[in-house]
Amino acid sequence: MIALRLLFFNLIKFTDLRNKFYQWIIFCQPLIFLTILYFMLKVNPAINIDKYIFAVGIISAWSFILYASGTALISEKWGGTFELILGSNTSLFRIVLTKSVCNSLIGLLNICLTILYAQIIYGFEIHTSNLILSISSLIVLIYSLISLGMVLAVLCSLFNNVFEYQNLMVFPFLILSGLFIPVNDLPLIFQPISYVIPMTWSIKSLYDSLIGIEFSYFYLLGGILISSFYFVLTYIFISKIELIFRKTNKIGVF
Amino acid sequence: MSSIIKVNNLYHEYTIKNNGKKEKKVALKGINFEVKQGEVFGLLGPNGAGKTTTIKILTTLLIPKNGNVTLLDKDILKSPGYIRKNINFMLGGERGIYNRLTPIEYLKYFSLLYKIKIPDNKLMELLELVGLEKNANEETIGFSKGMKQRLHIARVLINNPKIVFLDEPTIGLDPVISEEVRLIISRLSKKNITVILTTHYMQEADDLCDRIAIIDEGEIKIIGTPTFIKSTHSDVKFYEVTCSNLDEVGIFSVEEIRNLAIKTIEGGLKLIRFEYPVTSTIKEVQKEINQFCSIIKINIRDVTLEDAYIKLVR
Repeated sequence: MIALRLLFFNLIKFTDLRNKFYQWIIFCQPLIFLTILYFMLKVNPAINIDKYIFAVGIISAWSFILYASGTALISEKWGGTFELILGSNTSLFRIVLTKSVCNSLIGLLNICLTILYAQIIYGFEIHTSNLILSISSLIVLIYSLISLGMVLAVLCSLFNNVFEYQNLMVFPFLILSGLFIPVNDLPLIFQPISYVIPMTWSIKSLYDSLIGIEFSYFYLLGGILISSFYFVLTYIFISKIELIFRKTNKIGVF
Repeated sequence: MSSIIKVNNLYHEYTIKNNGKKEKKVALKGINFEVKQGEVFGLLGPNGAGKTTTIKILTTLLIPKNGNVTLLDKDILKSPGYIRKNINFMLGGERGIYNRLTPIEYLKYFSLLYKIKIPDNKLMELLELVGLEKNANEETIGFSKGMKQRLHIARVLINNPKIVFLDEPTIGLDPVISEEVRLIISRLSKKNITVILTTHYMQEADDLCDRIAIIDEGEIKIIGTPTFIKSTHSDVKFYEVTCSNLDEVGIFSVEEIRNLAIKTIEGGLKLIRFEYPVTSTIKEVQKEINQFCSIIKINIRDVTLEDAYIKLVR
């Protein structure tokens, strides 16, 4: 119950929708990409519009998660609250999890907003060959984004110039996860990296459910498994990092 | 009264980088002390003496290299969860506040982190205690340093702690706000909450603390009540003399006069401050000084905590 209240509190009070950058990502960025999509469709009416509408939503969701979850812990260090939350009765893992769930829910809102824009402003009609599988894939995608958000929160807390790294990560991650080009069409050297990214699996699963090609539960399950692996990995990493902070007096130091 | 904090042989060292080379710096050289329930215990010392390191270890934020520390009869390394539930702390300065939250939201957030459900009226009581009830629903972004410090004190009480650690709670505050914060701290001790206080303000420590430990270069130099600490340095009395026609060379040659300081004040007069052995009467001192100047005014004062502190850490 407390965990839910903590999540709700984070969602209501710590989601900074007054931040111009986040306003841009959530409300404006989908419009830009949907406009590009609109003209792409004019040039080539044969493209699968459903897939790319979701891709636009995922770009915004990923951008938000990358910046919001990526700065979740480092901003606590910057503000001098990191020591206070570490000294409290809630584990750092739970705090990071709450923040990451909260940011991924905003990511889901991004995707929903993109679909709304696509239908209302651009008049696109969205079809899915199997609604249940598409929703299931979307849920797994959110699950993947939560796990990835946690990894980002922890990793980015180790760097002072976190924004530089985040800027470098936005598009390579999207390309590697098969959002624009199928992973199988990427150079062989990159394909193993793609499958280490948890959202690669759920994106493939989502696209398959939209296009209507033979759906394989392998990707859906793969997404769940690899995301769960990231949760375990983050738990171990947070325990280690907390121990290092407590041993070296690096808490609150940046 | 039982000891609520027991520190035994506490040792800690850091690795620091000096010109690219890693060096070890000893922060605490095996310190020992105990704190009784309901006591206001002061940790005094110069910057880098080891005060904050001690506080961080006691609040479970830092794992010591060596030594034993028990709080509420629990070992800090074995039962950090239990200890965190029963203590709270504030680290000096205005950081540690979420600017977008109001004080009531800030307290609510920490009540969630401490896994306790507190009704709004209870939160308001905490804000009343620190005089922030009128600002309960204002964003803290516009708060002054003093308001932020007071909000920290309210936060510290959110989990009904048995021990609170206040690291320089009045740092950078104006005298009026500092006095208000001191009043709040003295109210805490009346509620039988054990307070561990670090400060650079000696008068504050003298007024608030039941006992004090003076720490320097990782070692405790003295521990005891403020009266005891002052009494250990009562072999001298402190004089302040306003005079004219001062023979500066001559006065410096007097063997009994120690720590002499001379300052020019209005009208070309001189103000001299010095220590003189307690065995001499004021008349004897006056006679001695009169050889080197014309005394206009002479004041004598007892040893303060600051005098004792300076002697100990100089």
